Amino acid sequence: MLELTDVHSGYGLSTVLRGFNLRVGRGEIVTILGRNGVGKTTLLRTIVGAVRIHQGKIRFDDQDLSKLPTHERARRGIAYVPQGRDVFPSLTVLENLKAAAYGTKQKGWKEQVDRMLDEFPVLAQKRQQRGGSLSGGQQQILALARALMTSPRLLLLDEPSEGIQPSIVDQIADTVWTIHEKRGISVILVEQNLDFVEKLASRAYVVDKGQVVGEFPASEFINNKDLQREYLGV
Amino acid sequence: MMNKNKSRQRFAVEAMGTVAVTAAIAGLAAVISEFQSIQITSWAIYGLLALSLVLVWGHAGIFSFGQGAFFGIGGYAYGVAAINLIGATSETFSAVVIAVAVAAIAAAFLGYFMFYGKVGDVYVGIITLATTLVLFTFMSSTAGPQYHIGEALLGGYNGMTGVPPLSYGTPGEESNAFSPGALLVFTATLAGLVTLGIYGLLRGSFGRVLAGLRENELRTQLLGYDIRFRKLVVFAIGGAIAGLAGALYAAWAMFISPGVFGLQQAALVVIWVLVGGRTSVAGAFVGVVLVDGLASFLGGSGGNATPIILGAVLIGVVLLLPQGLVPAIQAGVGRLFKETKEDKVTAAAETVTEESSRYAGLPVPAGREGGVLEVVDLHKRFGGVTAVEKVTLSFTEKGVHCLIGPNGAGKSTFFNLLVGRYWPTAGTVMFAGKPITRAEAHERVRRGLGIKLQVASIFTGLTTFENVWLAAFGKLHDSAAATGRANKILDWLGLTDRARHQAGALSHGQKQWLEMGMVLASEPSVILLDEPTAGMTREETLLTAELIKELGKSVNVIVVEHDMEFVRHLDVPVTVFHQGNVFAQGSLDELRQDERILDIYLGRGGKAVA
Amino acid sequence: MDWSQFDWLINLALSMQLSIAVLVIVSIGLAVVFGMMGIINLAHGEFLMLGAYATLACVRAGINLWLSMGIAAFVVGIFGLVVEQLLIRHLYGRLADSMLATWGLSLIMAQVMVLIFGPSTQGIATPLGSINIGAYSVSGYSFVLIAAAVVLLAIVYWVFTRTPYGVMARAAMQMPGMAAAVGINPKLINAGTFAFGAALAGVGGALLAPLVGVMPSMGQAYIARAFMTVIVGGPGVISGTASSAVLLGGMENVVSYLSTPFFGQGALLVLAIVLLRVLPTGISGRWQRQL
Repeated sequence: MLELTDVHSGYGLSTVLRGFNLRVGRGEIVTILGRNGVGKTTLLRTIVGAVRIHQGKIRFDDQDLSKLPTHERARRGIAYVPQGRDVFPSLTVLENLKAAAYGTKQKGWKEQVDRMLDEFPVLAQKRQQRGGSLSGGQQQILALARALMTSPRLLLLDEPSEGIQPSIVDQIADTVWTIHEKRGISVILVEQNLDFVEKLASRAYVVDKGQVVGEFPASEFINNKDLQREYLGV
Repeated sequence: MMNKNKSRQRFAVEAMGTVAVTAAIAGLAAVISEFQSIQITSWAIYGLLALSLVLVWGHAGIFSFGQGAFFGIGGYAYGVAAINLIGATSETFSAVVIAVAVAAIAAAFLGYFMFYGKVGDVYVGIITLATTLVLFTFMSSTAGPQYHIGEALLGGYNGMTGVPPLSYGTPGEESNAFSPGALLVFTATLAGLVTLGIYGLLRGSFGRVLAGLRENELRTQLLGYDIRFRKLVVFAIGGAIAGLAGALYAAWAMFISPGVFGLQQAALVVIWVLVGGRTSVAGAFVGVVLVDGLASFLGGSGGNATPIILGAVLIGVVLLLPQGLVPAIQAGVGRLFKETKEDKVTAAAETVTEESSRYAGLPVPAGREGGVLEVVDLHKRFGGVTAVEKVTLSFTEKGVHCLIGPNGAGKSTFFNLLVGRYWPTAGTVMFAGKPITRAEAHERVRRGLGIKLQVASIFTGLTTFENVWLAAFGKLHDSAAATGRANKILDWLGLTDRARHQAGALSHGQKQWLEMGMVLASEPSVILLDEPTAGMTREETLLTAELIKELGKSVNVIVVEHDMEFVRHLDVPVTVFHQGNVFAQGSLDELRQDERILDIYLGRGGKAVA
Repeated sequence: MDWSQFDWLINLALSMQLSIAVLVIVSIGLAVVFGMMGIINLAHGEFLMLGAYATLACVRAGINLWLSMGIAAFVVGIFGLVVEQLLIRHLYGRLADSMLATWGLSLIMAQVMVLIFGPSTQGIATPLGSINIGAYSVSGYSFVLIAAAVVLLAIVYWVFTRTPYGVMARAAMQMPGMAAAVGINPKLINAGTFAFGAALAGVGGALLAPLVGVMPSMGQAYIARAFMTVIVGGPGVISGTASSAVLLGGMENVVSYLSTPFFGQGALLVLAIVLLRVLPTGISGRWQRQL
C-alpha cells in the first residue's frame, strides 16, 4: 500500500535520505532499524511531508503523495506519532482528540471520541487535564489515540518506547498490537528496543547513511547477534 | 596576516571614498544655490539619522524603531540649551554637545532596561516604537505656558519656535549664524567624520564581535563575551548619532515639533535604511537621497499621495528586495565583473581527501593546570521521571573519555548537567576544585570549560576565519594575537583554503570541525562534546576521531557518543550509562565481552537487570 | 458619613474601569493575532480606524448604531482576510519583515482615508445620554464600553475553547508540524485567525467611534497603548490582556486623575517598561494556561 522509490530528501541543502526504497503491504508491520543519525526519523518525516523530497516517488494506494502538503496526507490516511509524542501540551486530553477529528473532518467524531475513551480508560479519567500534565506513558497512549482519531490506514511510530518506564513499555507494545489487529492498520515502526520490535514486526529493514542496506524477517534479525553486531555496530 | 591586510585595504578604500564625497560636497557648496545647499544639508542630517539605524539594526541586530525618539530628544535638547545659553556664550556648539549627551544618556537608560532585562528582539522593536509614540503624545500636550525649561517654551503640538541657528562667536559679543553654504560644509564634514568613525569601528575588533552578536547570540555568549554590555554600548552610540542629527536638524530648521516623534517619521527612517540596505553605511545616505528625492518629486505633482507611495515602497522592498537596494546593486555589479564570490555549492559538495594523520600537535598552548571535572551524587528528576540517579564520576587525567548508552539512558541529561543547561535536583559538579553546579554556561566557559553541543553552533554569515578569530579574541583580548591563533587553528583543521568563505557554506563535517576549532581557541582545560559525529559521513567520522585523539593528548576531553564504530576508532576508556546510572566502565574490548551490554543496548535489559 | 466623598469614589472607580475597558477594547484584536500567530500587526491602529469609519458610514446611511457596529466588525474582518492573502502569508516566520510590511500598510490606509473622507474629525452622537451619580454626571455609554470589554473577552474565550476552529488554532499555534500531521490546514487557520483579529479590531474601532472623534489619524492615538498592553500581557491572549489592561489602565487613570493626562501617559509607559524589566516574557509568560 505504501511504496517509496529512490527517495532523496533532506533539510535545506543537506541530503539525509539518499535513494531510499521501501514497500509496506496492507496490514503489515514493518520495522526500521539502524544506528542513530542514519535517517530513520527523516524517513518518517518524509512520508508525512514534513521534510522536503528532492527526488523519487512516494506512492500510497496508487496515489502519488510527493507533491501533497502534510495535512492532505493525513486526510488520506497516514497518521504519525513522533518521537517525544508531541501532544498539544495546553490542550486538554479531549481537545487533543477533537483537534485530530476536526483536522481530518471526521463525520461521526463524537462516537469516535467515546469509543477512544472506552478503549483507553486512562484517557477517560484524565479527559479534562492538559496534555502536558500527563506522564510519559499516558502521553504515548494519548498520541496513539489522537492518531486513531484520524481513521488512518497507515500508522508511523517513532521510538514509542523511548523515555518510558520498562513496566509500561510492554503495555504500549500490546496496545499497538491490538490497534493493528482490530483495525487492520499497517504500521512502520522505528524502534531501538528489540524486545518491543520482536512483539510486533514481521519484516525489518536495516538502514545506514540514508539507504536500506539489508532486509530480513524480523525474527531472524532479532535472534542473530552477529547480524546485530554487523549492522547496528554494537 | 593576509586577512588583516585585506581588512585594512577595505577600510582605506572606504575612508578615501568618504573623504572624497565629503570634499566634493563641500566644494559644491561654493557653486550651488542657497536653496540647493539647504536641501543637501537636510540629506546629510537625515543620512546621519539613517546611519544610526544601520549601526544599531544592521550591524548589532538590535531591532530599534526608536531612532526617531533620540533624534527628537536631540532636537529638543538643542533647542532648550541653545535658547538658554546663546545669550551668555554667543555660540551654539555647546548646545550641540549637550544634545548629543542627552540623547546618548536617554538611549543608555532605555537600553539598560531592555538588554539587562533580557527583553526579546521583537519586544525591543515594540518598546522603542512605543516609547517614540508616547513621546509624541507627551510633547504634544505641552502647549500651555507652564511647560517651559528656562526660557524655552516647549510649545505643544505646534512645536518649539525661535530655536537659534548654528552660530559661532565669543561670549559677550554678537553671535554669528552660519550661512547656508557654511552650514552645508560643516554638516557634511561632521557626517563624513561620523561615517569614518563607523567604518573604523566596524572594521576593528569591536565590529567583528558585533557581527558575531548579530549572527548567533548564544554562541557569542558561549565564547565568554558579555553581550548585554556590548548591546548597550552600541545602542548608546546609535542614540548619540541620532541625537547629533536631531540637534543639527533643529539648528537647520530653527524649529522642532512633536512631528519628529510621529509614526510617519519613524517609518521614514526605516524606509531609508531598507532602501539603502540594512548593513550598508553608504546606503544610509543613498537611501535618504533616493526616498527624499522621490518624495519631493511627488510633492510637486500629488503631495497627498506621498504616504501611500512611502507605504508601497516599504511593502515592496520587504517583499521583493529584503537586502535593500545598494547591496542588491553591489551584488549585481559583482556578478557582472565576476568578482571573487565563493561558489557555495562546490564548497559544500567538496569531499575530504586528506590523509588521516593530518592532525599533529595542538596549535594552542596546552590547557591550564587543574582541568579536573568531578560529579558527586548527581541526581536529576523531571516530574516523576528520574533521568540521572546518584552518579559519581571523576575525569581527572587528560585524555579522551567516552560516555555511551542506549536512548534514554540519561547520558544526554548528564551532559546537560555538566554544561549548565539543567541544574541538578541534588549533588554537585566540581571543576578545578570549585563547585560550578549552578553556574551559568558562559561562566563555565570563562573558567576553562570548552562546550560543543550536538548541533553545530557557528556564525554562518561570517567567514570561517572570523568564526575562529572571535573565539580567540574572546580569550586573548588582542586583535593581532587572535589573528595569529585563528590562522594556526585553521591550518591545523585543514580549513585554510576556506578561511575567506562564509562558514554557512561549509559541509556538515567541516562545520563541526570549525566549532571544535572555536572551542579549542579559548584554551579550555576540559572539552565537552555531545555526539560530534552525528550525521557525518564515514570518512568525516574517522577524521573526527583523529582530531579528538589529538585533542586528548593535552586536554581532558569528554565525549558523549552513539556511534560505536567511532568509539572503536577512538580506542579510549568507555563509561556505559544505563537507566540513569553508570553501568560499566572499561575499554571497549573488555565491554564487548559482556553480553549484558548488548542486551542493554538492544532493550532487553529491562527484564534482565530489573 | 460624607456622601459627596462616596460619589467621588464611585466616580473614580467608574472612570478607572472605563480606562481599563478601553485598553481591552483596543488591544484584544492585536492580542489574538500576536498570541496565536506571532505576527505583529503595526496596522492594527488603522484597523480600528477602519472599524470606526465603517460604523460612521453605516450610521450616516441611516442604519441603527448597534447594527452598524456589527457590520463594521464584518467589513474589517473581510478586509483582514484580504490583507492576509495578499501580504501577511508571504511573511510568516519573518517577524521583522511582517512588522515593516504592516507598517507600510498602515501609512497607506491612513492616507487613503484622508483622500476619501478628508483629514477632519467627524463624530457620531454618543448614545444613551448620561446618568447622575451625586454631583457627577456619567455618560451611559461608559457602561456599554465596560460591558463590551467583558463580552469581547468572553467571546474570544468561547471561540478558542468551544469551536472547532478555536481548538485547531490552538493546536496549530503550539505545534504547527504536529497539527498538520493530524490534518489541520495551517494556511486556512492562519487566514481565519488574522480575519478574527481584524474583526475584533473592527468592533473595537466601532465601539470607540461614539466616544472620540473619528479621523484618519486616530489609529496612531491608540496603537502605542495597545502594543504596551499586549506586550506587557505576554502570550496569554485573555489572561494577559486583561491583567495588563487592569494594571496599565489603572495606573494611567490614577495618575491622570491626580495630575494631568500628560503624566498619566508617561506613568503608563514607565510602568510598562519597568514591568518588562521584571517580567521579560510578560505577565502571563510564566503561567501554564495558554488563553
